[in-house]
Amino acid sequence: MLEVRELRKVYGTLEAVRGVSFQLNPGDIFGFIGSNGAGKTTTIRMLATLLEPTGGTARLNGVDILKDPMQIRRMIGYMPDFFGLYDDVKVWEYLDFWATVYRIPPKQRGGVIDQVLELTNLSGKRDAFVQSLSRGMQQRLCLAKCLVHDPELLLLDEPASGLDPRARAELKELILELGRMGKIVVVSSHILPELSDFCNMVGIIERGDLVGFGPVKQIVQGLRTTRAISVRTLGEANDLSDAVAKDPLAASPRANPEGEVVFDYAGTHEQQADLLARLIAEGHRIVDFREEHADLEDVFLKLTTGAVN
Amino acid sequence: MSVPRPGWIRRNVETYVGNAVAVRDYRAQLRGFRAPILWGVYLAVMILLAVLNYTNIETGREISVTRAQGQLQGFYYTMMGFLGTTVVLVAPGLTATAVVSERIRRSLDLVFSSPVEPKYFLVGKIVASYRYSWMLLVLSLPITATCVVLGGATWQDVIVGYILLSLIGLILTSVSLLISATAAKVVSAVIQSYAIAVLYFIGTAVFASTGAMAFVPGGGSREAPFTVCLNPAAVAFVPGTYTVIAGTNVPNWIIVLVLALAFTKLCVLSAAATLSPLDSGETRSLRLHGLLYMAILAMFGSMVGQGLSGFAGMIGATPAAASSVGDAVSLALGWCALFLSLFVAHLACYGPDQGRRYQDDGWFSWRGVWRGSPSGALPYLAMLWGALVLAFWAWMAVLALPLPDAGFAAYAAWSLGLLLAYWGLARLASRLAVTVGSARLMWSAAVVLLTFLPPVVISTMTYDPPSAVGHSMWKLYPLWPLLAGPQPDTWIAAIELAVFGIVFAVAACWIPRRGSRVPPRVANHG
Repeated sequence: MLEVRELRKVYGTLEAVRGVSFQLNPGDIFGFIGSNGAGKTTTIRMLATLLEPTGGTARLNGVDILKDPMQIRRMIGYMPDFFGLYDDVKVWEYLDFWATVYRIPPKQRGGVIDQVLELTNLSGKRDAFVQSLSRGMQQRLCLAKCLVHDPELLLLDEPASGLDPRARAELKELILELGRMGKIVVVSSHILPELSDFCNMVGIIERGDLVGFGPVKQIVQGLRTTRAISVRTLGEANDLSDAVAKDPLAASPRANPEGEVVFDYAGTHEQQADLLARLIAEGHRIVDFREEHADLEDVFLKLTTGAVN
Repeated sequence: MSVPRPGWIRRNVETYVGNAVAVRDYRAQLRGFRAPILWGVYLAVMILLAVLNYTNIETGREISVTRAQGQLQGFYYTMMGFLGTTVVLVAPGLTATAVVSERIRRSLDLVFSSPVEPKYFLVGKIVASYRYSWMLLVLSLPITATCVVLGGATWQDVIVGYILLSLIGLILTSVSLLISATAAKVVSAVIQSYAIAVLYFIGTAVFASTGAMAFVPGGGSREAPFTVCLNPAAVAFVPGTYTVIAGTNVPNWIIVLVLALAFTKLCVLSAAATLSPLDSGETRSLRLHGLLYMAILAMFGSMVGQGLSGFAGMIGATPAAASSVGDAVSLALGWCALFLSLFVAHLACYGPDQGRRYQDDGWFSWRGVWRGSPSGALPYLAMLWGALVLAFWAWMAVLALPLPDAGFAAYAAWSLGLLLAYWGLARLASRLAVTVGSARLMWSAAVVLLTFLPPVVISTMTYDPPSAVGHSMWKLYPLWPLLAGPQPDTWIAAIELAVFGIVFAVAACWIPRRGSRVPPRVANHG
């Protein structure tokens, strides 16, 4: 279990992280969202023991990052947003280096290397030089490096940056698999729709403050007291808009040129169904009636001001 | 899976044997045909040099045994000189890029988020580079062995020569590693490493030439300060030399061995502290070692003082700076303090920097000493000064030199004043500059100006030598005790410097800080 408590980082007069607290359990995939400079990387670097917190602490399975950073390092795999691989080194040699660093016994190293290569779909590149790999493959190799010691926590800072759509999809599958393996995965990203696809937990950081944290669905639903409903008609959108406006539970209906009316609805699902029945009964030729689902992007835009972007 | 936590012994064994960093770097070094081709060229040049040199030896007519011996010795000296040059050229070049290239490649974060201690990483880097230099020495052994077979040298000469070359290689490798850990760019690391190597070559040549005079003319005694063994071009001449310590003849190569290992440790610790966050174990260890190393600096200073004085006496001159061994050692204390003052900017300057390590946290704090922050600079400098003075005292007793007198006390006070003045200057520069880097640059520029400009100006205005007593203009120059040697007025210079330091520090408190912009972290996008 990862327990982050009041984590703070101050640089002179700049408070980069202001008392961030959250808790994650094995199997959680945590999406860490924030604008550039919001404090994501600083928080992740503190968890990776690369930065010393000014205040607060974090514990992984009871081990404190301040009191025993070396033990923490044995339990985490960290993939920074930008990283370099070594020249003149083959893929297996690169992983062998990390296996030695993590003190995997020499007899087990070959097997471990084969396993992580298979997991990251790089088995065919075992004897290739790392500089000859594509960006996506290098990203996967770095992830393989993070996995050689079977860590309990994975800290992935912008893992999808610079990847093409196929490589992103592959990476997403890999992260999901890691979650299924019971690892805690912390992923920071700017690509919000992707995060909502595979994260079960999300945290939104703004100017060093964690302004939102919890399961993705809960966070998204928690933000809305009303539902946004979109109705499309084959007839006049303005007429439909007037008809909708008659319902006291519907607020600010707006007709757009595509023949669609969008409005906020404060009623229950039964009342929503009654509204649809009334509109049809009044002769409106409805072809689409749906609830607009809020996504992480909406939540993010609502919770943050973009002040540090 | 939780990776096992190794014990202290296992950790240390793993650091030196089978170090993963060294194995990886060595694999990359030996990859492809590059290494064999380089070694082939190197051996070809050595063989060519040996053949050319040997054919110059008179073989066609009868010559005396002494002359033949001399010519064969010359052959040996040439070969060793070539090897010395190779070490000076290869060691810095191999090491200078070791850490900085990892920083630029951004692989250091991966390393230090894994259970790798900075010491493990740096020792691995040193082993990889040093092993390569060492291999070049081993490859040349069959060629230098011919010098023994032909009679130009003994096995002892060759073995001691090789040990000294290895140790010089280790010193240059260590200092290049430190530069590599602190540099921001590969090019600057390489340039700085070679600049240091050249300075090392010139500096040790001075020591070697002055020290060697102590034994060469007489021909009988091989007693000489260990400093004669530090120059790569002089290693062929110095086997068999020794230094008398507490009545025992200690071979100089043993002293150099201890010195080289101690220096390497200091460089690795410094580099490790650079790569670690503030308040780390590495910083504390470095600070503690800094105090202990004052003993080595004092030994060096005492012996140099002793050697310089002996040299002066031998050539029949009475140098202005050192009229007796005691005076020479007191003067050496002053020079050691000047050497120490070179580190003041690194310790005391503050301001925004990329690593955000040197924030202004006050002007005096005992905790700052071990934390490594600028507030610890003043107490730490005072501690270094105290350790240096005590160590000088101890070495003077061990080397049976005249014990400290009033002149020594005056130099001790002057040294403290110098450190205080430079500390005040560092505080002032930090106030005036925008970043810690520009503060250090400003400090360095001010120190260079204050050091070199006054002698030029004063020497154009007066015919007095720096050692002139009375109301000479030289007394306006705070560093004149280093040029003049012990004088009754040394105390005045000490007070002068201390006042400068206090004035600078007080001025720094009054001047508002320029800018507060923090340079963006290159890797920080969060």
